[in-house]
Amino acid sequence: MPLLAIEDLRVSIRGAQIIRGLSLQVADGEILGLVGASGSGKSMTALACVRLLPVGAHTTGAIRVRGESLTDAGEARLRQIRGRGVGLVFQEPMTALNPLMRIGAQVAETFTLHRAASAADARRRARRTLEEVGLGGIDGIERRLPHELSGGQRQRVAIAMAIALQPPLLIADEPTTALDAISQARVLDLLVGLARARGMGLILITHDLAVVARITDRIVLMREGSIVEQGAARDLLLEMRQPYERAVRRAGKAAAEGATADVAPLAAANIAPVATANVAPAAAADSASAAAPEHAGGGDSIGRPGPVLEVCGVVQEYRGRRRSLWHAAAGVRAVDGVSLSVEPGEIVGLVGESGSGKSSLLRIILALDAPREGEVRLLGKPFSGIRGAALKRRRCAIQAVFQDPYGSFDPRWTVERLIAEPFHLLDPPPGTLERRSRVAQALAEVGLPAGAAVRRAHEFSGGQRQRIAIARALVTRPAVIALDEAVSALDGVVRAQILELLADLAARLRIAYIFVSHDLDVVKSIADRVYVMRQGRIVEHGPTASVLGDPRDPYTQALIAAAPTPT
Amino acid sequence: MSAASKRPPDERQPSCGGSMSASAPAAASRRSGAALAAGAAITALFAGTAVLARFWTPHDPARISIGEKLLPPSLHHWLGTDQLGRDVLSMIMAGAQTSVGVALISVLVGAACGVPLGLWAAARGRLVDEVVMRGNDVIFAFPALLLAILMTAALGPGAVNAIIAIGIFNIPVFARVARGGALQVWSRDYVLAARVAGKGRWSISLEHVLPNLTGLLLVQAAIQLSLGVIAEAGLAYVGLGAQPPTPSWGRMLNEAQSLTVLAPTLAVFPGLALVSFVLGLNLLGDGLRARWGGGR
Repeated sequence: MPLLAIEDLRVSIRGAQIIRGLSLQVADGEILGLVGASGSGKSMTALACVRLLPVGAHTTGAIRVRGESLTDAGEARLRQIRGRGVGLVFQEPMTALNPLMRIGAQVAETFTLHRAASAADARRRARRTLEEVGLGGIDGIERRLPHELSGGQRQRVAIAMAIALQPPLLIADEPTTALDAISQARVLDLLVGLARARGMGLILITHDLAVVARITDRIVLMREGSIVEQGAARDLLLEMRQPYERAVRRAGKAAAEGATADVAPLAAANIAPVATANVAPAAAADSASAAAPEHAGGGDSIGRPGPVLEVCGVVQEYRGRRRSLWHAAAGVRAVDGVSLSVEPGEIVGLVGESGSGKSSLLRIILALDAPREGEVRLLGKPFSGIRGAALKRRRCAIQAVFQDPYGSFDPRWTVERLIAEPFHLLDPPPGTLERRSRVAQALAEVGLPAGAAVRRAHEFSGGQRQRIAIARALVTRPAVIALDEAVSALDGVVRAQILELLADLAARLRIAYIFVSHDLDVVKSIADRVYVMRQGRIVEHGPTASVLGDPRDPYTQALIAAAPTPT
Repeated sequence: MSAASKRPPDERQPSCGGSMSASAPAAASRRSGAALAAGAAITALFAGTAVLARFWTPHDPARISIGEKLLPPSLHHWLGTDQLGRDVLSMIMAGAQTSVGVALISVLVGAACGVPLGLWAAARGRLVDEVVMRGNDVIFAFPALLLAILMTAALGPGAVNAIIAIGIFNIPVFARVARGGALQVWSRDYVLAARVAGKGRWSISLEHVLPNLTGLLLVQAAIQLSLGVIAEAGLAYVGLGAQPPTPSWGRMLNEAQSLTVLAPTLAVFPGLALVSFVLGLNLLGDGLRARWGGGR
């Protein structure tokens, strides 16, 4: 008898078919990877397994755990099954835990809720479970609150709660997506170790193929609510890895051809005149204050020697928490003397685990925060420490793309208005007609139809939204674009497409990128040079191939070792 | 800009009931739709009545005719007459005018001062935020109706002073709601994008923050309107609201109180008007809240 058997599962929510006839079996001790793009129905499958679907979901088909049908089970029996029969771990460890409840009590609650132990016994067993998930070494872990733990530690607590009652099956829904590379690897190791040690079945749901590659026995690939492929992990993986790498390689090649042969593709031909037209006013304004005729917004017309972006000894401090009323608050150095430079048209990667200060640094580079010490120079002129009209004028040369394709757009604005927002920087801003044509052009450059301009951002998919974000960053023809985890929220195929687009645009328009990511694979595929950041400092930098291929710093080595790879 | 927390696109709301049917949420959404429709209809009815009363009432609400006093409802006087022979229906219609007018203007006053304050506090943060919000706390610390009574007692009774008194208590409510919503909007990436596009605090507040708060503010306005209606009636009841001959539901209730035994209907009709108007406004607020989820 299989541990879990799903037969012809169909789920619809308010008339929309989410899962269309899915059949699946998991044996005892098997590690199954359930992979698919966002919206493919993989999370819904997991929730259906424990009958925790959203309100309004309609389910048909059979789900059996050890032969017992869940579709017929009453609520009381279901509560027993969740926990004792099937453990669940979700993506976001912060929201899975009660923020006001101490860790020990939360884990112990699992035992008392299922009437598995007395209060004292529950506490003892909770401690043992916490040790089992590798939290035993942390002093006073039971008395801590969730916010006092790191993301990886929180996820361990969530895992401890899920396995506390020794369920024969554990379902982990994107358990590592919210974690950085190193915690990711450790949490995955923990899950696999637990499954192997206990002979527990494990369903690992993810959009990241690299995650499942290393550890699963079998992979099930989902698309649009049904299984498109399944088989042994290794075979399937080699096959699926191809489009992603192919796409990036193709982009690189196309860009190289475009740049050397100068056979202008359609878009490049349209771009040249606009680039010069829009640089002119900014340059004129600047030369009035300082004689700098070589100021350019990113056209390839000028071969200026200096870097487009220089960061010199930047320090950023945040006020920490007071230990008591009598202690002064100790400052936390988020960025500690960072220097870096970006040459025209260069793609510079900035990698590091979460909390390494990448985002704080980026805020300073974008002049959203002022640095405590140090200076940022853009196109050879100071960018940090200036304000008002001067700052506004300089901003033209640097734009940004943010991580979250859902939060980056005002839900009430049309795409045209969103993309045109940076025109605010131009003096004078272009008139209605010119604005419209330049928005249409930007849309064409990122591969969206002109009709997109009148729609709103929520009508687009994650990948399309990120294209809109890129269009918004491109529209003033900046010399450098800062991309903050710009592809991290996207899944495999879409991510490859966006990377391809970025590589292509960089080569055609000679725009430099500063590409912040925790994903080494992505950085490796696109960056010319890499900076590795740890605890606010740059620990290593150099050409991508040599830094990531032959790392010298122990931290970089650890990062690379931790990164999930298929080989 | 944080690399860490990101909610999955498919928002999970596990149903504890484990019901596998589609009926529950559909019913809930139908209910909130019905509440919205009913609330809007009742509110429109009273607002319409108030406008109508400006131009026409069945009788002159101020005309005293002792010979026709305390008549029961009839074809000529649909809701009867009071102790001075005035037509009750006409008085309720004219009272609606006072009620709607005072509540609406005081809400507008509160929103006009409170919303910019809240936006300002959210945009500037730190010291400005502290000062504005602590100032709000000071106003909040006093029981609203009590201080309104104190103020009208000091400034003299009358509709205008009632507006000022109620309006002042609407300021911190709107300031707080606007600030709370604005802080949320300020944390969004699209605000970062706007800052990268060189927008200043005020243009971001006006172009991004305020439009995304309209739902939230409308819900609050409906709730404050209902509180304003009650407050106006309360002030009028103790004789500090609109003065005679301006009709008011609160004063009608006060006058009918001594005649409860003789003419019970006299207190019922203005009371009913008050209750149903407040109910309508609350239904409207709840319906709007359900529709906008408390604002985005």
